[in-house]
Amino acid sequence: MNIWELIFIQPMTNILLLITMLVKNFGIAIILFTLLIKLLTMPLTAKMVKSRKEMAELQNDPHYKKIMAKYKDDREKLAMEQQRMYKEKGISPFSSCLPMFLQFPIMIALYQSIMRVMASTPVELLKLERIVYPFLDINKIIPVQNRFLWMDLGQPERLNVLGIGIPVLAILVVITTWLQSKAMEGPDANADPSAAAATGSMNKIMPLFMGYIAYQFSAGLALYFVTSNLTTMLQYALMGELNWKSLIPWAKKDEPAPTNKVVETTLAEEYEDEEVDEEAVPQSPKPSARSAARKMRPKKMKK
Amino acid sequence: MNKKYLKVIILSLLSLILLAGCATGPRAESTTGLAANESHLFVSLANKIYKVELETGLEIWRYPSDNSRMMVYAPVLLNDEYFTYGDLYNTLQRVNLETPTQKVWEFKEAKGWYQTKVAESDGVIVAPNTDRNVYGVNAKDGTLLWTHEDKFAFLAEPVIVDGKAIISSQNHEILWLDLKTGKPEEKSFAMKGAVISAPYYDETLGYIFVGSLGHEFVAIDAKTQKEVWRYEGSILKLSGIWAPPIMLQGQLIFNDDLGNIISVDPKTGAENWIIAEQGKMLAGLAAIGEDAFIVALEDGTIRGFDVNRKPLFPEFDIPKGKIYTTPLVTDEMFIIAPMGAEFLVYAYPIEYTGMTKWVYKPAKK
Repeated sequence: MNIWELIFIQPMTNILLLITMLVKNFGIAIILFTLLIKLLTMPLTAKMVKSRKEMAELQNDPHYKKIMAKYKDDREKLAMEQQRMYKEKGISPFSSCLPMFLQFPIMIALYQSIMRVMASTPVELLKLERIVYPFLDINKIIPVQNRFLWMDLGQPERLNVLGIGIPVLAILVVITTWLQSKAMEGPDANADPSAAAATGSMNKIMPLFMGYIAYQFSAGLALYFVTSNLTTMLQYALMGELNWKSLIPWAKKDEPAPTNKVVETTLAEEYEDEEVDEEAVPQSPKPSARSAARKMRPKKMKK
Repeated sequence: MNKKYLKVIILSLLSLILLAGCATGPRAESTTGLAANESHLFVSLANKIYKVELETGLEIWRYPSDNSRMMVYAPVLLNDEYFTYGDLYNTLQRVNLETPTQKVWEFKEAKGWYQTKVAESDGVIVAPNTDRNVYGVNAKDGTLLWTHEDKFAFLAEPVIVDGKAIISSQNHEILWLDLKTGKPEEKSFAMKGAVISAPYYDETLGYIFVGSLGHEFVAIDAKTQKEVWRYEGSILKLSGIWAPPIMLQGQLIFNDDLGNIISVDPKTGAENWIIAEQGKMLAGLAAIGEDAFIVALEDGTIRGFDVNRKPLFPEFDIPKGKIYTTPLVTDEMFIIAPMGAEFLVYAYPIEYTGMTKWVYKPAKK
């Protein structure tokens, strides 16, 4: 057994099996296990959200924008100035990525554990048997009952309606992945047109990709995807970071902040010869993204 | 509805349809299936069945010859005219042996995978499936005769005795199904763990021998379904049993997944001897002639013993090979199909000299 299996797969598989033993239903066990993992990784998610928020606020900071505009043609200097600002404001640009990277192995291990428990060939069963801890009675665990509602969790899911197999879970995966990505968009997600275009493409491609995986692979995995998506949305909602308005096409949206390009051009002209006043960097309280946007707007309009 | 959202929904639906058409197939970690008749070896692996000449190791044909959808690991069932197999696309089919382009019939009513070899008797094919059903299929035309539903996937090859299909169930039992109707006997035989191994029938004694993951090996009277004896270990506690036993010189010999090899008296279950902990082992023992057997360990090590535990030859191994399939033995050779090794099949002469008789690897076409 390699280190990855020893540290991640074996404990997680055993917890999943233990939950299955307790609730006597593998479908419910997948849901509970996903919730448990999401709960345990909540501090990481919260840290990631906080860092992302700080970064968003910084990007709407007038002084930051001035720097961006001023050094737009000097990448080296721009990077130095950005670093200086991060330091002054106590922001680590990597702290928004780090929790995400820390969550990756956990999520991969979660996926692998679910796949491991859904063993459907003798070789897969043998491999499952070998990683079960001795205190769990293997005979009470194997085989795991894969039936949940109308699904066989070990097989790709189809709901048979009038002879047509409808991939309900795959469709749910597409919908929830899309909802999740839309709901987690910040209010000023469309501030930069190129970033907005990239996000828009991702928001379309990712749900389809995940749906494809759910369509092709076992229903247990699709169930995990749906649970994970809904739980992530719940987490963001609890942290007050869910942008419900993104989900409702007809809802009145906040007026978008001016695009960086316009700001850059405007500021570049305005501060063409002006040195950046380092004293002028607001320290506390930090302006919110929206207030920063509001501060910028009149200047652009006047022009 | 906002046009943008309508566009995304239409795009999603179109993509789903497109992706459904481009489906790459089921995924399962499984192992090579081996079967042979007097002159040829049939190797089932992934998207092909290969027919190989036993004498030379030369490929005769591969089925299907085109890129038709198929995923098969179960050994084929052979008779003089046809080969029959089930695949991971939920299809059971019978194909002409000499002209493998001629499909005799297809049975597509199962919703799960065929992981194991099917059995045939009196015009009925008994096909266990992972969709928790055993299917009784008419061998002539592939029509469904009966279905028996259970709680878990069926993974083991059935044995047919006196009009009854005897089947290992993961639901901790051995089932007796009527071959013509699929109706189960009122009482099944309860085991302590999931039964993955196929039952072994001894005609002389009229007993079924089978082990389970519940650290037990039992002899059951095939007619009365009553326990004759039970073996759970002596000095060593028995581990999980994944393969059927062999019968040599009046000894019943079987192995567990830790590589303990146990010989017992088939009438009483009294222990004759043990060869302890050879190594991790999923494959079963393969009898060579009337008084010896081959042990193929998971790590690629091959050993041979006679019924008195005397080694037949110095052990050897297949580099990088993982062995999960029970070796196949013919009059002249023993054949190993490891996973991950340089070749797909290794054939060694019965009188092992340290050399292979031939090796086979499908050429890229």
